[in-house]
Amino acid sequence: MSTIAKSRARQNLARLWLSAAALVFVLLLVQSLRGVYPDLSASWGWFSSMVLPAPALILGVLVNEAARGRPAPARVDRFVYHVTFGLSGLYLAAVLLTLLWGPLTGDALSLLVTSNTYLGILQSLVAAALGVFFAAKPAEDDAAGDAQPPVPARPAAVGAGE
Amino acid sequence: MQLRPSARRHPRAPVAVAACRRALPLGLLAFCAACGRASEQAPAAGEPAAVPPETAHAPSTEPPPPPPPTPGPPRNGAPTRRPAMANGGEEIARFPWPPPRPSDLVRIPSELVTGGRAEVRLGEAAGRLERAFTDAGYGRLGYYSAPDGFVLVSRMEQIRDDGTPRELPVRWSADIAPPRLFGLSDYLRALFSANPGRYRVIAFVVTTRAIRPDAEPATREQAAEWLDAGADALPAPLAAQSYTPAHRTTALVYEFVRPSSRVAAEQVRPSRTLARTHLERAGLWAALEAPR
Repeated sequence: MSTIAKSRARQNLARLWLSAAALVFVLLLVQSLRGVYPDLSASWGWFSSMVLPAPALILGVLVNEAARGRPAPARVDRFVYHVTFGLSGLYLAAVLLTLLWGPLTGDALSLLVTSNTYLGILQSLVAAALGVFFAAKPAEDDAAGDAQPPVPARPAAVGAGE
Repeated sequence: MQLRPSARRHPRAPVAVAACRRALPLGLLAFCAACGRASEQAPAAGEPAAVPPETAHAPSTEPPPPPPPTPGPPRNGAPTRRPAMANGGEEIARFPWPPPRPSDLVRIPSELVTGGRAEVRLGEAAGRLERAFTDAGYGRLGYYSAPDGFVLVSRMEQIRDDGTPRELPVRWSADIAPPRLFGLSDYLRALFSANPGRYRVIAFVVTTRAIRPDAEPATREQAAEWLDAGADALPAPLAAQSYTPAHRTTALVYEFVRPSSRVAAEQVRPSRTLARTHLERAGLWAALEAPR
């Protein structure tokens, strides 16, 4: 089973989610200041429900690990990581596309509200993948190139038991 | 804690409760029906009370009392369906009077409505206004009666910020149309700027009375219904009346803005565009000035 260092996988996911969330936040903020959305509670409610939960989860895990000190060198299945990363990228692309499609419809707020339907389906898939990724038991086998070198066996004490 | 005997659950209590629940909607229905019949029989607010036939036809030696003042229509922006004239024979709805507060209004010079002629009937003035609307691209129109005159209402149209009509078919659509995007700069401008729908209804009021608009603004829904409730032509008795020197023609412009289909439209007041500019950009002023 191919594996990847869990800390590295988490960092990659955190980078993806935090950068995308920051981009969406800035876009939405500028649009709000320019009066694009007549109902700010609706637009920011969309941001809170569609974008914030996953970065909040990832940040929580990272903060928890940092608070516990140096984590154990755990590994995770590479397939699980790729699926989680791919679904996250697809979901965030859909979120960004929804925001950027607004000018083409003429009614950006309506688009945000109606996007709850299809984004909700994608979001549940992403949430499931993130749940599997973070709750998965550390993988035992390691055939990846970036695997940690095996800890050398402790040499037997000379004269032990003698 | 021990329950009182009366508070204990009776074995047939659920059945009684269910029966009451079933009976309650029926009782409410009967009550509503009774109220509806009572309101049909009772004169509505602002309507003259029905006179019994024996009283109406009884000979009287006393001089007839002065007629009661004509009750005004409800001041809620909705037209009232009632005869425009006592002997008209044709029914035409009455425009809300005083008219709902417009976004702006402008007096139309009489010569533009009469064509400079001394003796003109209301029907001719209506025809001139109707032709102006037709020349400017407006389709269906709605006629209403007004005190000593009439009101001609246009269909609600979608306009640009400067008052010019939107291109077809967006002009007659209620949906907010996307802006025209010709390049990246247009797209970025549209991405970071609001794109509200702007709507306009123009009403020409021909009357001898001074127009003191109501304090209440019209809603977009009311203004949209004006066309449907209006007549397609002026009744003959009303059209035969003279357009006297006391008659004035005023254009009331009702402008609405709707930021999103999720948000209710609001009347723009005061309009950033003057009523005369609205008429000019709609092509109505030029159509009125055109020689006939």
